[in-house]
Amino acid sequence: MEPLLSIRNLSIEYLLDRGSFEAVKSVSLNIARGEILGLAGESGCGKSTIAYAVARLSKSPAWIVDGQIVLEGSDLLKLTERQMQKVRWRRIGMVFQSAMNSLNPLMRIEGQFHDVLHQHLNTSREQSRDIAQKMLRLVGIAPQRLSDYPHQFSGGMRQRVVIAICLALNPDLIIMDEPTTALDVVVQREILEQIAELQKARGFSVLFITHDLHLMAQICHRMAVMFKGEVVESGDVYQMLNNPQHAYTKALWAAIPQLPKMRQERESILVTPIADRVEAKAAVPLPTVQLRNVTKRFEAFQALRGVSFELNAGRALALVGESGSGKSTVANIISRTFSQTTGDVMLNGKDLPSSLKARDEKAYRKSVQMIFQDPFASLNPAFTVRHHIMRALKLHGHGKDRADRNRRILEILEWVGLEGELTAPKYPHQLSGGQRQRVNIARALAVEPEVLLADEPTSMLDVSIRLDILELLSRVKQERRLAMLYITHDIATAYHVAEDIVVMFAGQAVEWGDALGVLSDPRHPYTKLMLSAVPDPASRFRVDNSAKFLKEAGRIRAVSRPYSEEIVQVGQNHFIRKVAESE
Amino acid sequence: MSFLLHQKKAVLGIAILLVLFVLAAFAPIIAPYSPEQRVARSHQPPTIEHIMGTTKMGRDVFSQFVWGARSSLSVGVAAGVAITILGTVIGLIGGYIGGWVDRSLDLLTNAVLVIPNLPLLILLAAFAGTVGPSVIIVIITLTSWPWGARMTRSQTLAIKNREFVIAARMVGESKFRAALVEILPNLLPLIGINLIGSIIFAIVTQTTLEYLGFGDPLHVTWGTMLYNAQNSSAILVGAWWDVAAPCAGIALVGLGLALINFTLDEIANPQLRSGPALSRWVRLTRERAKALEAKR
Amino acid sequence: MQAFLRRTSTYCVALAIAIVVNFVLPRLMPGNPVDSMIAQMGQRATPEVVAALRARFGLIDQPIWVQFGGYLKGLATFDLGLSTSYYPRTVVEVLARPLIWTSFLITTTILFSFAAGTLLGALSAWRRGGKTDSILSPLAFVVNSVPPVVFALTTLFVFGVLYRLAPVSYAYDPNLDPGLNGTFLLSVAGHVVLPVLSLAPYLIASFQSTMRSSMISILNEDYVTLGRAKGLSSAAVMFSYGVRNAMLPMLTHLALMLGSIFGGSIVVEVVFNYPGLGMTLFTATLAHDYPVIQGQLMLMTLITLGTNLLVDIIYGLVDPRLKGATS
Repeated sequence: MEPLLSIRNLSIEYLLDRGSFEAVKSVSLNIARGEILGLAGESGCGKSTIAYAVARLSKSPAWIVDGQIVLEGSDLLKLTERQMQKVRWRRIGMVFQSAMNSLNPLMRIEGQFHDVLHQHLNTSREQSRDIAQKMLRLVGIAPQRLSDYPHQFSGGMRQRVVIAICLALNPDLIIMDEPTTALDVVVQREILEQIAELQKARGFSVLFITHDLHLMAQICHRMAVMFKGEVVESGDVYQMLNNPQHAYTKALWAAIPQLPKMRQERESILVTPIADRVEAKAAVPLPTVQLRNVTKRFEAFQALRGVSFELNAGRALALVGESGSGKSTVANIISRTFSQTTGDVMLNGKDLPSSLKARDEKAYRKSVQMIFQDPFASLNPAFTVRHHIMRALKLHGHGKDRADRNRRILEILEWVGLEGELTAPKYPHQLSGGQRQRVNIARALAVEPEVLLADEPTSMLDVSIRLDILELLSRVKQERRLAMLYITHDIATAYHVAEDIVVMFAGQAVEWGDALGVLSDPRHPYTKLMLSAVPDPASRFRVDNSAKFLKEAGRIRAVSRPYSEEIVQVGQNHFIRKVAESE
Repeated sequence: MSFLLHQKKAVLGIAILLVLFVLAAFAPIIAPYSPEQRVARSHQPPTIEHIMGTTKMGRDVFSQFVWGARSSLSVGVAAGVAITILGTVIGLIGGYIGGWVDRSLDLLTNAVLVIPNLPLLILLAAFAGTVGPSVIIVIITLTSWPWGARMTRSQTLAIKNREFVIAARMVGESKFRAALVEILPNLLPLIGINLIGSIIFAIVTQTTLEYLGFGDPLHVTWGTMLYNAQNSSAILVGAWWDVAAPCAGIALVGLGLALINFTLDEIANPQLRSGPALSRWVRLTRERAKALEAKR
Repeated sequence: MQAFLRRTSTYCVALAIAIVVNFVLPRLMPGNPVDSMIAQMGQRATPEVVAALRARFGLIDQPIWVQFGGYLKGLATFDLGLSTSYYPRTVVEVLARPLIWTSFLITTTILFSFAAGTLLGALSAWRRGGKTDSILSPLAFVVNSVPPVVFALTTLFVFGVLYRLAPVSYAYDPNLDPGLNGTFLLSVAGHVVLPVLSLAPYLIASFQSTMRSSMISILNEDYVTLGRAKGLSSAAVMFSYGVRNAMLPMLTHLALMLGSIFGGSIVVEVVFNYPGLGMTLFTATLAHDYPVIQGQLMLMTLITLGTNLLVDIIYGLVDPRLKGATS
């Protein structure tokens, strides 16, 4: 059968001030009618560049050098701009990554439907409104909201609106460029289920671009994996999942953190042996950091509503939650970026004052160090790696003299898995993301702290290196006996680093205890919801589930939101906050 | 700085300024006559002896131009430097310290910013009587720092919240050192823009004030040259050279500084830049569109 | 709402600064302005006038705060004092008519240059890297660095003296009787051409540069790409997705520019002998008519503050994101 879209030998270059760079190297792909084709790969592999090229929306510096993009027999690259305008949206719709930014902020939703409907179908305002209402209903949004502006919708809702605008013209193909990457895992699940369902009902094709292979396995029929501008493998999703051929595909699969399923499997994934955990707990009676009933209020917004936990030497605690749950507020309170509104924060049993004096601050920094989310932004571009670590040593009086400090710098770089002599003189821009994050860790370790706060340390890194960094963090905690706080939105990774876990929602801890226990036997409805939304290649989306999931997710959020005093112990080291309505 | 030298526009700008500064620096040697002495008939058009003609008073315009460059440039540069220092310090302090210090400095900055500058200057100058170069420098500085302070403040706020600054603080760097070592170097392109913008502004303002008659008419500057030309109705009687010389001087300084500033602006805001790669892309895209259109 | 309050307090501080400067300066002056004013007035300086002037400029046996109170009371009732050079007219009377001419000149110039600058800026951002952009954008920087006086004198010489395209002096033909008839209005329109042309380049350049940066950052937004992906025509994407959003910062810029527009108009009015506030200011300084100079600053400050306030209100109405925040 003739494919709907056939990309043939497509080559795209990035024009540079001097010369050019081959971003896409002679890529060929076919998408059949009614098919969802997944295009996977890491940042910079060229997958988005292809997506933009298909709609002929390539921006500078991307320049299509060669190839064909054939939509049902006609080569899109041979159309004039005017002809192409008729193809766009009418036949090829698009959904972009940044949900927050993909709607015109000054236009009502209705207007954003009308301009495109009027352009292609020459509809009147009333006709456009009728169609728009139908489409909004289709994606589960009340039709009255047509007269709202984009800022009145949440990120997930905005993405739904874009999908609704897409469907209004019933296109043959919808290009989705990481449509849920910026969204929380539950919202992601809600939207993707809906896409799967609508696709089945209406029969359009999808070019689905993502870096998340598990997600891809859940929604796509076929998939292609890209590496440095080339498609290295493509085929049926199941076949590629069960029997990947190319080494890169295998590596990508292996790099994804898995949730524990069976007990044996769990043990094998664990980086820290169980025996160590017990011993660690027994050896340290006094918690290094202790939070007692901490709350935080920002003007009208209650960010934290009573959070308590402790960090112990040689152990890590994972703080898991969606954006806005308050998990970063906790990190900022412990790092003293700001202080809590009420409650106690203690370091080695001593209360911390609400604001630190300059001298106390330095002493505190010596005890508590932090690793940031963005490895590209957290090193000063003007200084070398050596300088960064040297400052950490000097400030806290480590090392006798310059030579001694230099020796330590090399030592510590080697320890975090970098080649010391080679890396020390380099500037941050000469390093990869993973290397920079290792330098960040090395800098924090150079201070020789007791506590390490890691705020989403892998979320900006490519999938293939995330596990390596997590493993390094595990080693840090274990060998250096640090008390570690690991903050993440990705509940699946929690298990790879942490012995303890706290699941947060709406400024309160809803479930906490032993990571093993919580993840394998979640008791709080919100934890269950979150775990069920984690992409799982073994369970494809069912096409009749979306409305049910959406409703259930909404219900669970509603019952989990109110602050509840009542805590229930459900296991030896496993607690939940009681919800008003029992399961 | 080395980047500037790779940009054609900036090199041209630097060259223009260099010529003017050389003229100004060596005015006593270069100027053929004294700027304040009658050396020929009144309103004589440009000739070999008087390459820019003469004024109504029979003074040599070229000599005045050269001496005028000396005082106009020195006042412009001095006031520009003063404005930049004041603006940078106020913006950096407010942006970095935050809290009530920032709130009050920001309030002051915005308040001075909305008071019309030239009428305020005129009022100050009117009460000060005849103002020499140093008074002009002082009053221009006192009224013109807010633009720079505003820019510096918002940039400081942006850099302050960059992760590498927070990270440096977390490692244990003091507030002061973080401001000096982590933030200030990142403000350099902006300070450059501010400096050049302030010099332009100072020269513009000085010229305007002097043209309106607030300067010391005995002190030869481009502004007083314009004032004297205006008073002798030079334009209406057709003695265009009398006006054209100082105008050209001011315009050339503006041109030179603007070309440098344009380049600095592209360094500070790379997203505004349209380098060779972009030009090539635009050209190729246009050519392809034309070819497709033709085939149809 | 909070942002609005903060803006308003900024304007109050600005007003306070202008008031204090006006009050304090004459009292700080080394010489004696009253004597020079009285000397200028000659015979017209009756004892009452002299007493009023002395009171206004602090040469009076009263505590300073009583003087300040009286000064504030005067301001509140729009009493800016007496003009010495136009005696017996008050400052308010002296400034009323010029205010109309200056408003006319400035409004015309702003309308013209805002439209032109915005359009040029939008175009050069839209065609970034193209020929238009590579010429227009550096040009705007250069034009922005040349003072209005240079443009005014050049315009005067080239269009007024060399080619005699338009009248070079005053706001209308003095042989005509002012009235709402065609000949008079035509004369007014003809007389404003050269002043507008002199003032406009500087403003166009400034609006153009600002619009270009604003538009470039908007064009990088995903919603503009979405507009293109929707298959809308280039013009539709450029205007209803690009320009529409990029215009918001332009409003703020316009309000901030008003002060320097006044500055520019002073020079241009002097060059073209245009009977506006600038010309009045110029003659007042020649006559050492300090009350008029002071009144001028108060008036221009008030107008600038009023415009800024107006822009804040418009901003709140135009941007739905702010509307949501206040309600």
